[in-house]
Amino acid sequence: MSGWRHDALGSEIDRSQSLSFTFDGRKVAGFQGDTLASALLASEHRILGRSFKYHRPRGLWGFGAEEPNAIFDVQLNGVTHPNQRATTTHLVDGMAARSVNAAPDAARDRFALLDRLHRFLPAGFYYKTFMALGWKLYEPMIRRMAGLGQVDAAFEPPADTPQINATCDLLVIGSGPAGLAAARAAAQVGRAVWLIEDAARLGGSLRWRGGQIGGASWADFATETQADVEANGGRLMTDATIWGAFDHGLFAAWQRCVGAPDRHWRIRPRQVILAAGSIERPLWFANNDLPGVMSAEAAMFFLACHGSLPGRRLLVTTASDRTYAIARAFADAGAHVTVADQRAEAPEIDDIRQIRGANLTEAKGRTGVEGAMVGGIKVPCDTILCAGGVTPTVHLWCQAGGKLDWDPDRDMLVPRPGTAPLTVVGAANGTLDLAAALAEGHAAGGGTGPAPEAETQTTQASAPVRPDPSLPGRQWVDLQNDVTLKDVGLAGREGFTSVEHLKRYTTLGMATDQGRTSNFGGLAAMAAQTGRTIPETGTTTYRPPFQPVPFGVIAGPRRGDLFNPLRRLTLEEAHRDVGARFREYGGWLRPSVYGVGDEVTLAQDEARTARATVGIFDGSPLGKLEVIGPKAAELLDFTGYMRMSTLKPGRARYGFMLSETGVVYDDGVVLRLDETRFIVSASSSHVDGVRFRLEDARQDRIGRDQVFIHDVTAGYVTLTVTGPKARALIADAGIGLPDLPHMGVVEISVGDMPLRVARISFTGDTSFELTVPARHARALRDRLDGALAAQSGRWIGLEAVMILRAEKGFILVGKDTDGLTMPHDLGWGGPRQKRQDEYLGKRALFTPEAKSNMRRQLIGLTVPDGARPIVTGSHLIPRDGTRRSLGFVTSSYHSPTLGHPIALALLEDGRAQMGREIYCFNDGDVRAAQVGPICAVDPAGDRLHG
Amino acid sequence: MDERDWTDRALTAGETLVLGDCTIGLDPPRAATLVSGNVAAALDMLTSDVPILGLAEQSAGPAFALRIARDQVLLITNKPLSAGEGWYGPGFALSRADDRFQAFQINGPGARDILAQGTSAPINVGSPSAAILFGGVFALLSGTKTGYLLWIERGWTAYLTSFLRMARPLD
Repeated sequence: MSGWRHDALGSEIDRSQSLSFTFDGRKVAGFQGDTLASALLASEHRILGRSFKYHRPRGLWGFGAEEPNAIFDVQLNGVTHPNQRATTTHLVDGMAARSVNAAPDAARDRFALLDRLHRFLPAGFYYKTFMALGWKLYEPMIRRMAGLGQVDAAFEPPADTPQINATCDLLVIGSGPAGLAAARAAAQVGRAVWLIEDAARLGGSLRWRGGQIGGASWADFATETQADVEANGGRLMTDATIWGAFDHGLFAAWQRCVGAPDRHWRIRPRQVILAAGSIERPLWFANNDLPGVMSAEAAMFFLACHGSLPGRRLLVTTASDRTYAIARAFADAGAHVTVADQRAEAPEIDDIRQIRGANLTEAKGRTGVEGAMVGGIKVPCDTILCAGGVTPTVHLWCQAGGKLDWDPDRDMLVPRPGTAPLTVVGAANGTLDLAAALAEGHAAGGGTGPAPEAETQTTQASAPVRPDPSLPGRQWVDLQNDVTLKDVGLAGREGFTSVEHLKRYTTLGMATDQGRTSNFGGLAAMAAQTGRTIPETGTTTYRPPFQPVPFGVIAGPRRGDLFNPLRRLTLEEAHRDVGARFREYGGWLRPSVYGVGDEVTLAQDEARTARATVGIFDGSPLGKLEVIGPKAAELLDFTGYMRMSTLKPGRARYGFMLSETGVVYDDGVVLRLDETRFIVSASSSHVDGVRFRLEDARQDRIGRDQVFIHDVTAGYVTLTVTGPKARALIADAGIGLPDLPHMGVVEISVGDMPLRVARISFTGDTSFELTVPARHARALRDRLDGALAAQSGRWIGLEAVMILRAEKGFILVGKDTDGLTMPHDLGWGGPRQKRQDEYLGKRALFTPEAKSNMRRQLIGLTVPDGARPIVTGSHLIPRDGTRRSLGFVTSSYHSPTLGHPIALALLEDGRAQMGREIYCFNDGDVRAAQVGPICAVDPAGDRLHG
Repeated sequence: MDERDWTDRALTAGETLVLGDCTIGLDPPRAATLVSGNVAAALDMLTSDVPILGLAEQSAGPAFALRIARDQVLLITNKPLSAGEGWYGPGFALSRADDRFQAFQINGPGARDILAQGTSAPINVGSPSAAILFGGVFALLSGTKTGYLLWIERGWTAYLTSFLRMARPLD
């Protein structure tokens, strides 16, 4: 049997605009205003997908994000969008939809044979079966068969979704009767309301259930509400989903746009009213997954909005009066309708066959519904519409921290007032009556005067519907994950009685529908099996997203250059002009080498030149944290391992900053410009961290009014001239240097250019750091560049600097240290032994662990001439005995100065191993090296002080 | 992407980005001084009648102070101050910051929509502090007659150019 299109019904389609698309390669017709689901429902296609595990045929169930079966890969304009729900995909001419998890297609899936093996594939069989013979044997096969749609690896979604921050006075989520009433009431008292609707049109259930509000059509009420909202500075969005409620009142909205990139909103409202409606529950009977079994509410939606009917002979099965209007609508549309009501005392319906007090126990058919067993009687039908009750849509409520209460009268979990900062109204609050929903919304929106009126619906009590494990056959609890009632029973018998365990053991409630139609059945079945009530059994945790959101929407434009942006040097273009090649160092894009060719060779050449004559490198990212005030020295004494109060103005001192655990956090040089002004030259990547630590101590210990910290790093450019001809080059550049000792600092002017000169070395050679305000950077650079050739010097990149500092044994914190390294591990034990005053990290330096003689200490390693450098990261292992890691290589280079490889390493009790042989293990390769001092070049310091 | 493949570049002086009805360009360099501590005493000594601006607030004149924290402002002046850097007895500290920041002029009716794509700060509500996170980095935001000045640290100029280039005008 196939679906069909009613001649007149379908308020949301435009029959004058025919559209064409393909499903699994076959052409299907539709109209403007259709979704893929509504068009397919009216077609001959009933099998729209295959189930996840058993590859059983599946048809359409729902009409929104709850749809578990009709999941397609949709191709449009050459782009494939995987795992699109047919129910939420607007039909576009030329679309090509392909069913997922089926080969070659849903109707002819060759894996359907798996269903015959279902006895051997119960819940959790993966965990038991595939322990034998090794996981790797099965993994490729399982991976090939698992999953739903196919990602087109060649397609890179454009990074064009704007991420928009917004605030609003009142956010109303959902535009059903309660949401409309709330928005209108709030707008009429002058509030700026944002009304967000997941569907393409306002109205919620009014769109298919209809209704009169205030004596007029509901559509008029919606139009007037829209006008009121917009007139009061509000905003109305359709096709927009609030997909998550996050901390601090943040709500995320995905707005789908036609002909423009989607938008991602981050909304921080002052007040939120949740009117998200409800979702119809299924019924549980044998073969309740056959194509042709669908939600009665969904069928009504498609009938009213699209004129699509799923069949000609409909069995409507329910336990509630609410479904009767649906049965009546289908009968009026020309379908043959039978109503099976589980209630023996159900009211009568005129002109419709009615079976009361009987349960539907089985659907008949192989690839679609061909009949049903109701109370032991076979009822001929091609479609079964199920109304198993209503579950309020409380996802956002729970994401916001809200709790739920079980309401036995309404047979549903409803929001517990006061447990989340939202007001819930309408069906989301369990209020299904139109007049009552309008009243709730009106009150929540702060409405003045009477609420919009509607006819109150009088209904008999609904009967609770529950899964019945005594029925024969397979009853499906979760259609998307192929979980049956027996699977729930098995999980319970195996001890997985918590709903969270049940979810993970059976996968119930996972995947794109997130258990919208399955969670209640699962927890009800588990409650019955374990003798607990539903509130005692509880629910699984609701987490964002409310429905699948494309990664591209969440990521927005922050990809590529914007994903992890780097700071850029003022002189970047000038460096490029002389052939610089760039890499990231500590969050900055800096020259690694200059010139064309192999990077390692270039770095070696640059380092060799810097040792022989002179090199210049851009050291601008080094921190320039000015510490100013009468208590500046006191602050630095407390936050530093070395005392700075004893430093004389015009001098600089190397020091460490420790964490509270005594571990080296950063190293660098502190310059003292005058009695009350210091500059902390933090590592490039630690500037912010050091500043925060200084601020902590300033605010919490030293005092807020006697010392201040100014980070002026970004405003200055530092060019470092290093090498035996450094002084000569600076002189050639027209810069008159005073006689400056090592670790001396002076502020001078060159013309109108203020210049700070610090004789500080990170290379082991005589070096001068020349610092100018950024606007003078080019002038300084050009002066120095112009003098390079005469001294046979060159620009050097960071790779050469790394070699030079390693030769000298100068460390890089984070590279030559790890999360356990203390200053005495690096050979800086003096302050630890001598300082009597308090300083950050001091107490941790005297714990038993800190005093252990088995700590890893920094040492140097050498290998014979001609050998290749040791791989950085290699483990140091003993020559004999049990192989274990004694430490690791932290830095390793070929030394152009010495002509052989050098390395730095952290080695257990390393300083006691001087001269001994150690072995370096890397990826199975074991090499011998000799332990030596960390300084390999100029240990006497002649070059430094020369 | 290859870590060497950084082809984006900063806006240059006089260059303009047009995003719908919003235009973006670089603000010419100005003299700037970082003032911490007794801000009132500092401003009394250094200038006269300089307003302290909070988030997106406008100044009638060319000199103003952008509040960063309770005890810190960035003082913007027409020309560099004659006062030197360092500590001052009334209880404040000065540092030159002429080149620390680059300001972007963001003008036009759509300016606020563009800013909303970089910051969650409530521009329409305001704040005593002009300091915000914009595109994930520290920034200051002041108002002008035609829009806004977004001050970011100089090293982020190329990134902010790319970030703003990716922003979308909203209707």
